[in-house]
Amino acid sequence: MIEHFIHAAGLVFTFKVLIALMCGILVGYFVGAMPGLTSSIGMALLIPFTFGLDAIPAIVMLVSIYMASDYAGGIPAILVNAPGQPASAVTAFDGFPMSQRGESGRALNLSIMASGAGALISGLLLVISAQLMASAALAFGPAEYFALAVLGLSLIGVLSAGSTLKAVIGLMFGLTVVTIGIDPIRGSERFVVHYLLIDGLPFLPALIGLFALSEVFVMLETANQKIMPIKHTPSASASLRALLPYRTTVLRSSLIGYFVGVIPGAGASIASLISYGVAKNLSPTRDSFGKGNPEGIVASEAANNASVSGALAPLLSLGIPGSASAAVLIGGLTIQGLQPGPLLFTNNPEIPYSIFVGLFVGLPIMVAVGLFGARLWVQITRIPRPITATVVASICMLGAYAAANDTFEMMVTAAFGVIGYLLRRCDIHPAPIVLALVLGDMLEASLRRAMITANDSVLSVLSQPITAVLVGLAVLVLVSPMLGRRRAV
Amino acid sequence: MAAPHLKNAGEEPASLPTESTAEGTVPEMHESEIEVPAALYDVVICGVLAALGLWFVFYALRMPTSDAAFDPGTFPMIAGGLLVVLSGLQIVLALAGKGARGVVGFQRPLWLAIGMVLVMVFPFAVGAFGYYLVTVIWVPVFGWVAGVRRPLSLLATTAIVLLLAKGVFEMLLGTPLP
Repeated sequence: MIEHFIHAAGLVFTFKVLIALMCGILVGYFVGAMPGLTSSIGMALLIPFTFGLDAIPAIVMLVSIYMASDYAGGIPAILVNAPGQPASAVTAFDGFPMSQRGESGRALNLSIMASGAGALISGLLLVISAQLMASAALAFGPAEYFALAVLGLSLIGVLSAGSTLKAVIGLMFGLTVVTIGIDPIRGSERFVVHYLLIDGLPFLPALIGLFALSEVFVMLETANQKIMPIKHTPSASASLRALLPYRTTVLRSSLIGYFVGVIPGAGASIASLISYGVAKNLSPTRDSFGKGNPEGIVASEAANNASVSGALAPLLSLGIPGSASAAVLIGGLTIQGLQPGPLLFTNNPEIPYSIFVGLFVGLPIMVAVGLFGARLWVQITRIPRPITATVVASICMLGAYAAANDTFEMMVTAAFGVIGYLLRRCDIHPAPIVLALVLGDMLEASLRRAMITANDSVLSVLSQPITAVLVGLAVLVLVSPMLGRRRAV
Repeated sequence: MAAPHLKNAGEEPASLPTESTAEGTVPEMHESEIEVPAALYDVVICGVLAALGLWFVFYALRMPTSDAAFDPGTFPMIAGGLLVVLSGLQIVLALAGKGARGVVGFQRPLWLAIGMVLVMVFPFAVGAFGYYLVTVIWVPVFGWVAGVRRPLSLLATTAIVLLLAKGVFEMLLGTPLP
């Protein structure tokens, strides 16, 4: 492990990678601070910019965007009560009241320092657990991978925002359309209505459409939204001492964030909500939560930043994305010709280890950029939405074209943008669809390979111990909400 | 089944914004808002998804089969079939009024529709006339539709997009644009 770290450090400490890291952090702060833009949108928009880059700067840049956007989301949440990221909504519960009391500098300091501490603790956990998970997964065969994909998809269905039924409909939509193209086992054509679909539905243009372009249409609707005036934009000072009284909360929230992040579909919002709830319940001053208790900010920010590393663990070790942004990252890896999963640690160890090194190198930079650039990041919330919508729409089309230098890719983006928007309004969110697009191929190919190995006996496939446990868990995950509802009735 | 309800229908058309502000956008636009009962919207969307699922099932059934348990058509048939069943279930729930969400409101519907058309047309226009020519026209038009009113803001937005295309995509990343 140590030699991989040393090798990766040598690769990361180059001009190209450090510039990519810095660009990723700045873009991440931009999308994180801008309400409406999320880390997944930012990453989807930036992937086309990575086509001309080597694998390491490209992946380090994408991971930096993912990390930095979670740091930045808390800044507008605290100063103007407009969370830059959905997960930062919990930060606003106490951050904005503190800001109204004139303690915005302290709130910002706590938010950024807690984010940094959460990222550091979860980063260490990621280094230890990802390698262990990958080693264990090396023994997995197609049956286990099939079961893992089923468990991942069932968790995504149940834990996604809104109605479970609609999330599962979204999953099925993704699993259905992902079968377009060449059959992964026999090589026969399926549903190829246009010759350009022979390689399947282009993933990146569909991703850009579902995440970014559909958000542009939401922005078109809300163009007349007023921009909230900022009364004062304080600068924050870097003070680790301010975090000391909350060290237990930091540790607990980081652990909660990391482990929630590992679960596919759970994500940063659930992590910060759980962490906030636990901190509130354990606090002797629980009544002050929601009225400007600094511990609320610490609990939320440490957890939502820790969930980022949590989501990276199953992605790097098993090839299962823990969140929508992690699914986008899979797109970034595959474009570079890399297959996330246990073999990544064996065949391309420089990639996961460069990500680890990038996380730790980027950490102090992210804290510094957050603390000293607070004035700038909060100004970003003042960029008029119509201008953002126009620029984002243009980048969507440009990025889609760059995916294969063909206008067909732009058509796919446009179509999926409209589809994504219409489905959103029906409460079918893009995340389950994208995760199904990512896992669909693996699900089908693994199942069919497992069936071939087991002489077409479903029972033989399901009777393998790990497969049985994982499929059993998946069934439990899907059935438990219904049982809970029945008991409640 | 309730028909879509057009708020302010007959009072004023989907207005074209006229005022501009310091930021170059239009913060106050007295726009009509289309409100559709959520149940109806769910029925329509899930109906379309069910039809899509049926199409996949239909073509999957016509694919060549063998003695193997899983043929090329089996997985899409299962996924498509589940899409039909679950969408059907959602339609039934929506019609029964379970989990009612009230209404789905579409703000600035006219602008939204024009925006969607512009996005759909863009790839065809780029294919026919080339990226730069189309972008010089498309970006200000889309910006106007989005709500940007100051000519300077439209000009600056267009310049930013063109600079990104030329500087980053063509020169830095070596992606030739049509």
